[in-house]
Amino acid sequence: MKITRRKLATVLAAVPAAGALAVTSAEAQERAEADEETTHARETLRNNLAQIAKVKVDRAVEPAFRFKA
Amino acid sequence: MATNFNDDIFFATITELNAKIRAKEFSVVELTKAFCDRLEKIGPTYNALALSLRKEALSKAKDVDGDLKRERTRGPLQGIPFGVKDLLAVKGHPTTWGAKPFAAQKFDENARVVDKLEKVGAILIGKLSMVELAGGGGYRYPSASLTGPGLNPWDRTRWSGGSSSGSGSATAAGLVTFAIGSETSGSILTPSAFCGVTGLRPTYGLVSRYGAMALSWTLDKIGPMCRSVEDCAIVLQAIAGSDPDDPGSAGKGFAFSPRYLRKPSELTIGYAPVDFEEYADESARADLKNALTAVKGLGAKMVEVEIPDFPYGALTGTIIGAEAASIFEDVLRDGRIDQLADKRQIAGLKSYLSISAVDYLRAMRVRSLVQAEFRKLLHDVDVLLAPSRLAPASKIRDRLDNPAQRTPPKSRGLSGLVPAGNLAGLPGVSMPCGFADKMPVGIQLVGRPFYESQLIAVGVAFQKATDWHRRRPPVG
Repeated sequence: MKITRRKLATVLAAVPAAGALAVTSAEAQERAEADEETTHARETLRNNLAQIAKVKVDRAVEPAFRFKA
Repeated sequence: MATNFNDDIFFATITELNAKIRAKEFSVVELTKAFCDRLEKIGPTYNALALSLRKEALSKAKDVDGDLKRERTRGPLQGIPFGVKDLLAVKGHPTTWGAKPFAAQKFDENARVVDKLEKVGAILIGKLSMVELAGGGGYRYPSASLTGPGLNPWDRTRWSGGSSSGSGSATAAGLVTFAIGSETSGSILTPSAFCGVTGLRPTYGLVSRYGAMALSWTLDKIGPMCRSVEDCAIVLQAIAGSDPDDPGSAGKGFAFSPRYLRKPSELTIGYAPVDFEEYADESARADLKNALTAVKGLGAKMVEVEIPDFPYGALTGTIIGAEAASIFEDVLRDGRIDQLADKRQIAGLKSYLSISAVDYLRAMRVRSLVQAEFRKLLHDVDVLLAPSRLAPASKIRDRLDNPAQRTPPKSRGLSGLVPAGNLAGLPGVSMPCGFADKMPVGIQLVGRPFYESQLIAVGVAFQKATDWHRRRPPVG
């Protein structure tokens, strides 16, 4: 196949653009994953606190501080 | 003298190996060299090795040989090769906590358990891999570690469990005679069950945590992972004891006297049939039920019990979260936390910064209720018995937060005993009891605070009656 200088210039010009596209796509995916994990972490925390809130605790009960088994 | 070490040596118990050392079948230097060769060659194939300590180990082995020559004996651990989880400080060497932000971290003194074991002549040959920061933020994949996912010697496509991953796989593969792990909520019992070794979680405060990474001041414990319950008792005797440098130290010790162990027939064991018949994964039910039958055969009085009703997972999550956020506040705020391998772990740890003092205190007050209820439960029952894990180790690429969705049984059984036992600071033992999908499964025994000897009594009797702890994975 004969490659003209014009064709070569077109191909070379496209390479960094494709690379940049790939990087952008990977970054976007990473960001989306991080957002998903942040949402998950917040929900887990909220659920945990909601479960604990359902346990009836008498006012006299002190925290298990100076923890001893 | 060139000694040919075969698998019987690498899979020997502490007592067996000590007898051979004292009979001068080989020198401690020869034994140490053979174990170092094996750990360095095979350890990386399971991602189990964080750091080889060959040079120091051989130097100490030489000293022990000198002591033995002069008949200075220091007990059953003299000359025995062991490894420690990489959250324990070893003077002058990297202590990474399994996490990239701490990859170059060094301390200028040993963790207290390392000093105690070296004092009785045990030989530290390496530091063993772990889940980054002991998995305190929750993690989605087994790959959440500086050394890669812990691979299981029974099947390298399966996880070794966490967070004491390397301690589990190195012990199972005969790369060390025993290892030291740590547990905040399941990190000794889980890899012990998945790798087919015997692990002991001591009562909170029995073993000093001085020189260990803190994840949760009120939950962290250090304990042995071995080939048998008897070995765990031998190691526990060496590492237990009061320590003014550990604010959580209970000021108590532990003496192992096999002769004075209570007979299982003098004990009452609580269990829940639903754990074995419904909660356990189908693949594990047959061997778990056989184990229950074997325990019943020991002659103990068996009674059916149910775990007190508390949100154990939520409590451990909140307490670990609040304490870990304070402990790692600097790396959370300066962004180094983003270097961790697992995105869920990063997000989890960051989210802990938003736990309020009121939330934490509420969890700690509910924890007081948990302790009170367990005191009641263990008033009439000496030992609780349940599966260590409900299923065998998962595949390395499987997500850890994706359990099979099933309708839960009507009774609670003893489900949640791992977080519950940790919240109440209770001792626990996991012993191998069979296989599921060709992978080990185990049962756990849990008892009253500082009554490790009763768990050991039942465990020793169980292991005399069965040979699951003698099974070896296809290594090498």
